[in-house]
Amino acid sequence: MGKIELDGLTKRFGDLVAVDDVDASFTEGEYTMILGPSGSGKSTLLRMIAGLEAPTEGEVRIDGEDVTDRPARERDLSMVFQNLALWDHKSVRENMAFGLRMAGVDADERDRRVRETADLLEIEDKLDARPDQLSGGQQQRVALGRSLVREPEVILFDEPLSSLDQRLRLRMRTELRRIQQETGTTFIHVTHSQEDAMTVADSILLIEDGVVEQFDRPLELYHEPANEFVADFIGSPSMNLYDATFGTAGGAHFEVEGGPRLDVPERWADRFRERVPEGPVRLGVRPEAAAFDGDPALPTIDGTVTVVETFGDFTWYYLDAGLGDDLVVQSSDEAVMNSVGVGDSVTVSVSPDAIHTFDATTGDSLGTAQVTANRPARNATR
Amino acid sequence: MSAPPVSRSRRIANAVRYVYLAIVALVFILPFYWLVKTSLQPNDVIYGSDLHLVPPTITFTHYQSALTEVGLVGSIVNSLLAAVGTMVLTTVVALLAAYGITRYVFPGRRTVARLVLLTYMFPNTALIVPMYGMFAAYGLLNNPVALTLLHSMLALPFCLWILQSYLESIPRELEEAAKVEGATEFGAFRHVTVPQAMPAIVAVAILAFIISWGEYMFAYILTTNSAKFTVPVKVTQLLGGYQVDWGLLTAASVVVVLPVLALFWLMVKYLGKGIAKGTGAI
Repeated sequence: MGKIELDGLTKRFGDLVAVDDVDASFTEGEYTMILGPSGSGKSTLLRMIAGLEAPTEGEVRIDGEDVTDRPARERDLSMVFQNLALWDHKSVRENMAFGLRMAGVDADERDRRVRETADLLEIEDKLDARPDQLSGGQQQRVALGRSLVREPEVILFDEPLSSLDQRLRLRMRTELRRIQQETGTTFIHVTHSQEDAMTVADSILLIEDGVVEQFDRPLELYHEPANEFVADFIGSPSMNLYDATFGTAGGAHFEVEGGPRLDVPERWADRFRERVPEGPVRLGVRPEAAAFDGDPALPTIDGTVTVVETFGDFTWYYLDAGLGDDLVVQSSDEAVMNSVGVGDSVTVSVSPDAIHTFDATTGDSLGTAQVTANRPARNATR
Repeated sequence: MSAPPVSRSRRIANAVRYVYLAIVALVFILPFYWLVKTSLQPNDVIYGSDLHLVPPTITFTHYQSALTEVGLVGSIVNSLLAAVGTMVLTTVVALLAAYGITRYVFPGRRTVARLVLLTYMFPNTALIVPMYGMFAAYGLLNNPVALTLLHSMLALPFCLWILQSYLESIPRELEEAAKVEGATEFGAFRHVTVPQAMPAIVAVAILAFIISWGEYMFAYILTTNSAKFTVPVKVTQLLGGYQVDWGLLTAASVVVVLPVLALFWLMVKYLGKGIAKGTGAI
């Protein structure tokens, strides 16, 4: 139970289309993140699922039942708000017991379940405090507890972690994941952090300007982005993207605008010829897919290092390779990290496996040359 | 070990500040002090030629006669009926109206909010005749219901304005959370909005009470039977035609100011919080 389906869901505020014809099916018992930049309509989408915002068009179904016109209280779901929305005039206990009280659960049972949930969240000694007397992390737990205690089928999260500092944020993120696994509740979590989404979610619904760009497993989004927006949004640092021309005269090759010609070795050539039309194309290379080994069997790019950013276990190098935009390369090779510095001339090789191609006008993916890895697909049984 | 030196100019600035505050305090407190002082003095001191800052002797005879001889107690009851009625009616109407204006989108809601304040543009004196005519036609003269309605009309706009800005400041998510947890619209209002708005609600209730308690003109116009006089009307009646019994008058005045003062002291915490937040001062 707890399967949510959206059918042609649309929300317009005057002329502004916040959510545009969204079809999606959230698998029950999964942790799904709705990911998008600010203003992409992700919160509006969540609020329509919650029943706090009426859709202009379309349908929300829970377990096959149309609930579009039902108020929030009749949807058997709960929500953790961005500002947590704890009631300062009530104690933590009263905050958590509120939903049970509304559902007509008797006082003893309420008390027992609140205590049980508080134990799970390790706030059992805070039950008589008021929310404004608690730390940020404890408030998060109370808000989560208020939702969990009622054991709803679905819990919605509207960026509740965004106000936490980095350490606490990572801890709460892991804890959310653990609790989701333990309870088997369907979690739908809105975030603007691709890191949160990639690390925790079973599935990611990536949305921009109210339109779903891709709804898939995290690794699918990373390895097989549906279009240029997804490729650019997922991954840190962003994928290197250039205007290029694909040609077959004298062997399959890409000519990057104002830059080098990348010859595709014969081994991969057919895979590109099958899908990429001759002419203008957008070319993408993930920073972590380029290497400093300069393998002569692979296409190479020459450049000069302009900026180095060190992270300890890996380093980002910004290269001026005459491509317009910098070519960013990530390396975790000790030898490279100890020797390459600003001003050095380097040769970078790119495996055709890691070259992404996108339609020059629509931005839709033309696929990679990589043979599809054996990753579980999103609606597959796991 | 010496105290950190305080600069001369700062000390002078402080002194000036305190002198200024003392003058302001004096301006506000002196009339009230004079009122209390006069009410406690025997008649020969009040009408004597010497000016006393501190009463040389104290007597409670004026209070005795105010409460027993001139029917002040009856007028206090009349005033209470109107003031409590005004307080309840104004608070309930203002709260529901403020909730409606801040929580629902409907055509002309901004206009409604502004039109209410427009009622303050009419001088009350212009309304004397129509009001008298209306209440007389409905047989409501000498009736506390009439004063409740009229005083609510006077108190409502300001109370509505305070509550409206206060409700505006309550995060919408607090109510939404209640609805998601299973509360109805009214449940969210009762369990979340009302307790959250309590400082402003209390402030508004007191304000409505005080406005009704002190209102003179309409209370005078709409009451022809002296047994139905409210306190302000009663007190002015004590100003006789040929002579003024200052002792009685001041004692009566102190008695009628006391409930307001008591309310004020009791609720000063709420009033400060409510009005300051409601008007956006915080």
